[in-house]
Amino acid sequence: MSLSRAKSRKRQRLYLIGAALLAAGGAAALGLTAFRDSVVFFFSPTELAEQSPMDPDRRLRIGGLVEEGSLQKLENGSTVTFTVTDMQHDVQVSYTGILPDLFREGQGVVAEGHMNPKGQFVAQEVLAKHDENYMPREVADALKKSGHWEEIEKQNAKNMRN
Amino acid sequence: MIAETGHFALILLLMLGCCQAVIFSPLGALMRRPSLHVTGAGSAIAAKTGPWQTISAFLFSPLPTGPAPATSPASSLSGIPIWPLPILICLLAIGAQGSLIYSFIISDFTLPLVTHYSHSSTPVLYRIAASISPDRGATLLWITLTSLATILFLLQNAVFKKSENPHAIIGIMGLIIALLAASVLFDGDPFARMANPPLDGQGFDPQSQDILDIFYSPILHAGLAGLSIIFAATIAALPRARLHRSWAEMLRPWALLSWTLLGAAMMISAYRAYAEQSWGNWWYWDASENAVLLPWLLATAFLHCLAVLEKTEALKPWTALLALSAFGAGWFGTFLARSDLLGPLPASLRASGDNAVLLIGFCLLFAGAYYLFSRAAGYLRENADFTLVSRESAMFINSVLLAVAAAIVMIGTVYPLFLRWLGGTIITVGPPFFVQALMPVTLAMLLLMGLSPTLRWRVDGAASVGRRMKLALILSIIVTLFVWMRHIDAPPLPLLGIGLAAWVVTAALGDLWEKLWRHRDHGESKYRNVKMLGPRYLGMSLAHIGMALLIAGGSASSLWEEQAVLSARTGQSIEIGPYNLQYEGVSLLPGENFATRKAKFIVYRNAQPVSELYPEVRYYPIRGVETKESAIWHGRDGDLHVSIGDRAEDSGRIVDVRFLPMMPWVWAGMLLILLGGVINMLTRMILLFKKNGVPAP
Repeated sequence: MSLSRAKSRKRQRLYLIGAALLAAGGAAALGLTAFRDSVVFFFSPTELAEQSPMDPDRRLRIGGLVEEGSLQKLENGSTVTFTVTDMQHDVQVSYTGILPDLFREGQGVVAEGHMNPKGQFVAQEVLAKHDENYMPREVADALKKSGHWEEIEKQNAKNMRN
Repeated sequence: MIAETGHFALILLLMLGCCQAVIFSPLGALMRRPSLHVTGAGSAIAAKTGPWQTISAFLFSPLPTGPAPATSPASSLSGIPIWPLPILICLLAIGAQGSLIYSFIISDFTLPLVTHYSHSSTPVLYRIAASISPDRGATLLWITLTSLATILFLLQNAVFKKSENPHAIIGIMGLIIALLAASVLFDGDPFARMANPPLDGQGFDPQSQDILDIFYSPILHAGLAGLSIIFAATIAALPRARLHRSWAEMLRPWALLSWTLLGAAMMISAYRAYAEQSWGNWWYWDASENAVLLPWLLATAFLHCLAVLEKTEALKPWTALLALSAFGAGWFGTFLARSDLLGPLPASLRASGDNAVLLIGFCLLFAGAYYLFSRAAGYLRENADFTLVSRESAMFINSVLLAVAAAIVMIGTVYPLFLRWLGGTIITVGPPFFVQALMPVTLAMLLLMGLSPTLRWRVDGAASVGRRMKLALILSIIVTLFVWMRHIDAPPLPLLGIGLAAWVVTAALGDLWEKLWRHRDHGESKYRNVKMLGPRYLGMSLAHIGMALLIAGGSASSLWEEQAVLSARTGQSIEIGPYNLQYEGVSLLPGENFATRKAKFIVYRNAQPVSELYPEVRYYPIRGVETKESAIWHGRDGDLHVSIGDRAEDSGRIVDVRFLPMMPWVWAGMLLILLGGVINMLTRMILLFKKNGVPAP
């Protein structure tokens, strides 16, 4: 009795450990291969300026503030261009489509796409799934790095009070 | 005054939750060595909690029982009345919830929470929504629903007497409620007032102002409350190693309930993301979406393992592990979605805390739970004598695959945070990662999903399985070839998805056919055969077919999506897919608390008008925000998805038109999955009452 119980306990532990290992190993293997191919890195305009020229095939994300007065609509009607800045460097962005709800000049923005050889960023997606009071995390970090976070924060707090 | 009453109720609730946790002693269960002797188990619990026992028995038992605990310790635990504390807690929770909702309805702007999420112009319905959807209000709702679930469990226990030690379960529910109440109180008190209240609030988040969105938070938290009962029952059963058939029977409705509710929450969030133009696609692998997907995946795995356990008493440790992890994933996901890890809060919100208590509670609860599991797992006796080709093994492998999928989602969600925390680079893990990593797992899962319902329990022969599945195999290969020949340049993975979906559907229908018409044992009448199928089989078939439709629709719509972005003028016609859209211009209309520019499109198919669509751009003056509400037409061969933007430079209007073939399959699939869960629950309930009669009050 006790022998068979010990045996079955051992067997159970074996299959439990096996299942856990299989799950962890499978997840890690699949995750790692997918990471290698499909992870998108984030760049602030300053980092982009340091590392230019960028490979035009590489998908990347940029973020910063939309410069006041830089939003322009092009002739064909559905393409817009604007400038993204971290108060040190700028990058021109062009985008075809409907801008997200929370896109505004002077506010934070994150865009995904690639650099074209002319040094312009062609966005496939402009992201803004956040509350209008929230700054995208990446943008906040980029602004902190460029040392202009305090004034933006102050300005935002003032806007919110109004 | 009302807010103070709610505050007081919440504090009282925290203390009573602690009392419930201590009196019914989950701590005792945690410390004790697992023992297999049932007679020893009861006395061991009582011995461990001896002092508490006497005190609590003295305080709470209606009759002074005197030295009863000393003489018969085992019976003393069951001597404590089980009903008063949970009912009291439930009433207090409803009171606190009610007073918060009331403060929102009367727009009491001395509460910072109200100021932040409401405004005097917000419609009453959305004031209520504002009181239950953002952070603290949502946690309060979670508490309320958890306490309601406790009452429901007590009712179930009173009627069916399935649970062996309801006291321990109630104790653990008390602990969970106490931890959540502590999180509400200490992470940022929703009832705290401020000294200089503003004249008006900042308004409800315009993107959430939608009738469907109101239901999201209650449904999600009800699902989590169901998972907490499963968690508690597992913890209560582990130290005595009593995870057996009646345990599984007791948990079955709970597993079904929380699985269905989590699925419904996901469906709502998918449809909302689809209808809100700026949110991209119907599933975006956003952290808040993953926060629901994680527990759903684990709950699905648990549901299947529970069925195995109920039938053959196998897979006990794995089922227990899944039960603990499902609730853990739910809690962790909630923390992740609410914390400021994904986007820093503005300074004014940061004062309201950072969910530290929610995280500490999570760590404490689950460290204890997993420790207990590691101690007790080896003592779970079971008869694991099934062979490789059997239904148990297919369901076990599928549950492992589901766990792998959950692990991948977890890695994809947490890894960027981890990397950022290390101070390194900022990366984004988006849809490409999840699609690529989850694809192989999903395909293997679909393969087994078609196979496993037709397998026999314990032992089955590979040859006879092959004979049974022959027709389904041939049919699904024909479907794949047909699709491939029509779209010769299509990428292989979505094609494989469509083929496997066909495999699942044909296998399920073939099995149904077999059971209905070719069953010799009870072939008296076809109606009898339908009745013989039972709710579980019906629900399972519906859910499996729904899942297949969902995968097929998702693959197809991603393959053959057509999109056009253009600047349209009034009267212009836009051709997309089989449809022709005529743009009829925009009119400015007032809404309840917004102004809207509503465009009119007439949808033509073969020159026949079939529908009219009204996409909108709404402007909410309180927050100064625009939202773009798409309009969707569910046609028979695909969804037509239209949204409008700003006025373009050439005085036209920017219009974004998408045609997503087979997208209605996705929605139909989701509805079928939900229907499967609901039918399973309802028919079980009806059958139970038919058998037992309505219980006397």
